[in-house]
Amino acid sequence: MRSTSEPDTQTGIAGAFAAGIVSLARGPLPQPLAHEARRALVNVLGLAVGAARHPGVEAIVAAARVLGGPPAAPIPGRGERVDPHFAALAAGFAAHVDDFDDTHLATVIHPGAACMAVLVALAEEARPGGSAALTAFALGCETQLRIGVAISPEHYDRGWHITGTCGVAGAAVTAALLLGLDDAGLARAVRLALTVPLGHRDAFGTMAKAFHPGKAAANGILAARLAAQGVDAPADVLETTRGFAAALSSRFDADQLLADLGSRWELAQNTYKPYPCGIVAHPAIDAALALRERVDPDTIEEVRAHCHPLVPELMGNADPHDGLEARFSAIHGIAVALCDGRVGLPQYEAERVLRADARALRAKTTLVPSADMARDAAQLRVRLRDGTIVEERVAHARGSAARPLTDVELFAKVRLLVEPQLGEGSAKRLIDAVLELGPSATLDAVIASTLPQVSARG
Amino acid sequence: MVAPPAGVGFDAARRAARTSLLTARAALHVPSKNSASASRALASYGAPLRRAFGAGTSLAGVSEDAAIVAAAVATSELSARGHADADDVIVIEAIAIGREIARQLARTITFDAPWDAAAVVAGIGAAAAAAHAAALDEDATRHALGLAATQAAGLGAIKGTPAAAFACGKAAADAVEAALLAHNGFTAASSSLEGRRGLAALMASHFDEAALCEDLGRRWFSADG
Repeated sequence: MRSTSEPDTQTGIAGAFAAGIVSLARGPLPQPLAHEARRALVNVLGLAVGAARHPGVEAIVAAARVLGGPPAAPIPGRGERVDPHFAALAAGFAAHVDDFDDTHLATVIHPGAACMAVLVALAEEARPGGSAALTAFALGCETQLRIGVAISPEHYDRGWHITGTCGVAGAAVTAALLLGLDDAGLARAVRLALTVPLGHRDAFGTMAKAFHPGKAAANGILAARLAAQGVDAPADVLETTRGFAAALSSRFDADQLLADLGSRWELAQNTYKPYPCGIVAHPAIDAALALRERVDPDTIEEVRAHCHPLVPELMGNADPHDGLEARFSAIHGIAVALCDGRVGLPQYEAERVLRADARALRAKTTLVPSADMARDAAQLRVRLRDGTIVEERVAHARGSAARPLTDVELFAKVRLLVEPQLGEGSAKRLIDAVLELGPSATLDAVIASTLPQVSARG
Repeated sequence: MVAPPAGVGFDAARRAARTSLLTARAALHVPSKNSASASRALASYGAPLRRAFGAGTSLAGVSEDAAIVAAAVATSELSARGHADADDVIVIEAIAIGREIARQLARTITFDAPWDAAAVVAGIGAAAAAAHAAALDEDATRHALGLAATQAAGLGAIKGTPAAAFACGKAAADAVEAALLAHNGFTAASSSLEGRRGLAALMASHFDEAALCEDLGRRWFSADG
């Protein structure tokens, strides 16, 4: 049975959707979904800690010193405190800047960063219980994804960074639930959020890309705070001729947004990246890692990577000069997989990107886009110096919907991100705190586990 | 340091900017319902963003330069140079630059029907004003404009509603934030207006880049309204 409610002119589609979210928030999350939400949360918290010293975070903290209010919120992985606005900006930025966060494959939304950033920013002000915090996070993610599905793929194809544009309304839902807005208040927050989308794909390759989920979180909090004061946007702001959907896409399917709330969960389709670069290159990297087992990289004459057309479109940088550019270079991922046998954050350090072996192998590698290739598939064809041809085909990339990252793989990834920043044992504290988040635990314990331990003495 | 603005028509542009500033100051003496809501909603924010947001919200509907003036004033108050600006020289220059950028963008970009063009270009103009008030160099100014472009909004659906007034306040606060982030090394796209996935490609059907850049900084058009 479908739970669609035909929106009347009074409520509008955003209001009907908000009513559905409110009713979901009253009940417990289905158990498997609660676990998926914890997986999403631990992944983005780990990433935020891992990138805590990124120059972009330093710039946000420096701006907060001049522009910020009372320091009422922490920043994952750091000792300083800033106001909630800048905490949201910093946490959302840090979680996305390594391009290593969660991905909803149908929309290419990375939903975790913005909603996690709202939790970090508002934890102390709102003091939610553990179940309420997890629900606020999960429903915020679900909101982003459902709006995204309703306007995809035309919206992203046109050039919008869907993580930013759809992130704002999701963050507004998380913030409204944490701040305890009533039903009408949550609806106002969603409508206001839809008036302040952000995110152009032209920003890819610069810090502005990761600014998008950070600012989506900040905009969502602002929308919730204005909504709490009774501010509203027009009821039909989503569907009207000069509204959100018309401005941002040539497609809007309200059914995708409204239907089956509570039985169809887009968040259940969330996936986690094993490699810190654009996800469309992951199948080719999987193939390269498999080939590495039987090919000496020094003997390679030519690599032809048969891939989905989005690979050259999104990750076509042929000559990257630093780590950020390399994240948009599929041939760099392939080259370092063949050279190093692993593709982690060290493979995206500038020094590694510029080293001769990687440059040489990149120069020998060609992307061959094919409309027949699925997005999570790839085939690598390697010609060696002696003329031998070696091939590897990947049907479903690691971390794809058909081949999800296991909890063990995910927690190992989080450990590699967190422990260099916070020391031995810190990843276990974070993972345990997130796994326990529920009726018997609070959000405070999760937030505390992302911060440097303060010595009891001194 | 970037050379102070000059060129044909600049004096007239500066006079228009001064009028805009004085109009804004007079209007801000009258408290509005919106500004009271804004002030309560932004209680946890720092004074510079709260002031920019509040002024932008209050002035929306009073002045078409609301976001630009609010951003210029709030940013200039951040520095010693701004405090020493007793005759409003810097702040008026900043407003003149913001007005010129906004009008030139409106003249050269044909926005798609759903967008309120004036609201979109005001956000970019506000960032240009904030960048000048913050004395940003060329690179940092480009990054600040890039941050403004990627978050430029303005749905036609909210034009004339309270939501548009708050969006105007937000555009002013965003501009101040963009200038400070860029000042501290934050980066954004260098082709944020004309790029293949930039503002004009996403929000407009036509962009006459050549006409935008032709006489920019040499001839000023913003004196006439």
